Amino acid sequence: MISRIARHREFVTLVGVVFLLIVVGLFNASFVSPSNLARVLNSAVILFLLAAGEAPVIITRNIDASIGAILVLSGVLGALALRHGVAIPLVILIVAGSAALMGVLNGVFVAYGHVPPIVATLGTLAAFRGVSFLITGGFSIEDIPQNYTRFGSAQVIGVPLLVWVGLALAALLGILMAKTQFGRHFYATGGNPVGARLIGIPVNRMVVTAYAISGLFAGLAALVFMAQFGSVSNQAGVGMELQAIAAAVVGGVSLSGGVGTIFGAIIGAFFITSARSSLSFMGIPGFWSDTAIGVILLIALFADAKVRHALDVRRLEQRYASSGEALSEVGSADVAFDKEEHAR
Amino acid sequence: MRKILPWLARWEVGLLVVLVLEIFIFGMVNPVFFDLQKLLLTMPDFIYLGIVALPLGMIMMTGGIDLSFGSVASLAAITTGVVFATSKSMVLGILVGLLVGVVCGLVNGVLIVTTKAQPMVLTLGTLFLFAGLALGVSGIGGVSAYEGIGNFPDWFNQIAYGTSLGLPNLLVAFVLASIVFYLLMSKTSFGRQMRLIGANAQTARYAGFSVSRLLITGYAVMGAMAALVGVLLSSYFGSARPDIGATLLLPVLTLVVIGGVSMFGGEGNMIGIVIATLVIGVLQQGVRYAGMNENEVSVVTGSVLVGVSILRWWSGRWSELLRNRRNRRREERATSALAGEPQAVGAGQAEPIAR
Repeated sequence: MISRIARHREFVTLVGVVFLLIVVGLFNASFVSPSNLARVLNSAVILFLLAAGEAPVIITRNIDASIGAILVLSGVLGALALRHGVAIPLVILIVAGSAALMGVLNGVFVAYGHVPPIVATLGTLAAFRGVSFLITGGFSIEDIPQNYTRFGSAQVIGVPLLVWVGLALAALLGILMAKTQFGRHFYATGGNPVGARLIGIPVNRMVVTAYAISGLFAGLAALVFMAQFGSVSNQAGVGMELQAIAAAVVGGVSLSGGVGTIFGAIIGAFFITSARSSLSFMGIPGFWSDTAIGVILLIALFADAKVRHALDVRRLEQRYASSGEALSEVGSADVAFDKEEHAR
Repeated sequence: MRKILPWLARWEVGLLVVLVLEIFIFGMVNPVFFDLQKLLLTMPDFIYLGIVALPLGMIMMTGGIDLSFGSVASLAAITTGVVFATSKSMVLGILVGLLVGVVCGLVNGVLIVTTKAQPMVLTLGTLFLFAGLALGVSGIGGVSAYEGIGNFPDWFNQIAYGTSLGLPNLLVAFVLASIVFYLLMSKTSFGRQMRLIGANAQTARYAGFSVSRLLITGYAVMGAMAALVGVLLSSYFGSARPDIGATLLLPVLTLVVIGGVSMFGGEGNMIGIVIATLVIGVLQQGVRYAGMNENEVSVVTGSVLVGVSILRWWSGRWSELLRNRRNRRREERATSALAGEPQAVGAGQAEPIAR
């Protein structure tokens, strides 16, 4: 039972979220009021879209540090288009399309250029941010038309519309990753690139696709950003990439590739957002929020290492227990040796 | 000839060629660039990146990475500032700042060794932690994050601004650090063992030295150097801010990779990092002198960095192809010369390909 839960890392994080809500709720009951929870959800949308997009990239054993910059650049394009009176569906297409294209660019550098992923995407981070600065001349683009920003304040059953839309999109991605053959190819690519190639998976194309998804979701986050804030400044999304990576890792997506779910990444994003917003309810100044993220991430890593170790030991014990019956004394001696080896 | 060719195919030599080309091209655009005196005096604008790139190169040679050094620099800088503001003693401030850096490095090292988590995730966590602590320290010290702490004694500002022997002090610091790290990595057993950890951690463990202790030492050195850069930057800007190191990560990391250090460890050397520092610094200065603003500079440098990194992999592949072809030809010559003596064919076989 325990090992079953532990194997699904995202549930551990989910328990963490519930635990956090209860503890902070005991401290200050207004934190768990429906209106405040809706507010937390609303402020989590951008981060969970980014984290959901980041997950496929991490699952293919890469990393995307440019999503904050993609958010800004595609958001700037979208905001300018809206101010020039372009129809909303077309704007959505422009933002999502340009963002996905930027993701493809990252993917090509990593897959075909053989640039280490973190270097490639830190480089495009500088480039995309620079381009968005050049377009705007350093000014933020204000006054996004009302007919678009009204989506930001719309609510359905007490929860902001954008939360529903974001969750639906992330769920689509989650189903794609978990239930389709195409999605499983991402896991194979990250778990064992050479093996994946040998069984006929187009590894390079999977990497490019993963980056395209990450870019696309950064574009979706930009659409949410525009609706929620009504403006796009050049400082939008600064540091969001690291938070998104942290969220994915907290939700059980392993940076060594091949492990993790979209659901986990989303839960991780909720955890980080609710932890940040709980600070003010506990009377802790806001400048400690980065420290809080760091501590959460480190605790998640510690827990992860312990759980993984316990699982490994258990699996070995089980394997030896079943083979031990056949091998009798030789087997048990092996178990003792192996346990000793493992303990070191 | 046969001796020279592989030497020419080395990455560091390619970098050197790029450096010379850069100076030549930018010099054509703006003759100021040929003025050695001016070139030297503008070096402090970028040379501090190299000071922290050297230890990062060392860490990456062990197969690890430290993403948190920017935050460590910030934390050390603001601690120095706050201690100075409360105790009025600059020396004490600097000492505490450097000590904080060492402690941060030890925390990284110990956590990495004990949890066996990936260094990249772990230092991502401490990146947030130390950056948050830096903000926290400035909050406790009652400083606004934008203004920071200034009014340092004159001698402290002179550290980064002054010159010695006609060279800017920061350049002198970089040269000294380069020499120390070069000697450390190629002439001492410490350096060799660090490299072995990166090349093959299993072998390193069987070789019988304490991998954990070496790694922790390495990360502590990294923390100390990051703190040093934080203090130097405070001196350079004349104020200690809690976000002073936030922009270090991108340029320093790319610099190390362009310098030829592999992300997977075991490969690379300090000379490559030194040349790469100059290549990137001269590029940035050159683009600035050509009349571009900061945003255009970041677009150009970002693109060039990615471009050079692509070259790094493909050039290695091309030189390997070339070497294979040469070996194959030699083998053919040997077999045709030995025709009729089938037992001797093995002698002409291609030599193992060195990467």
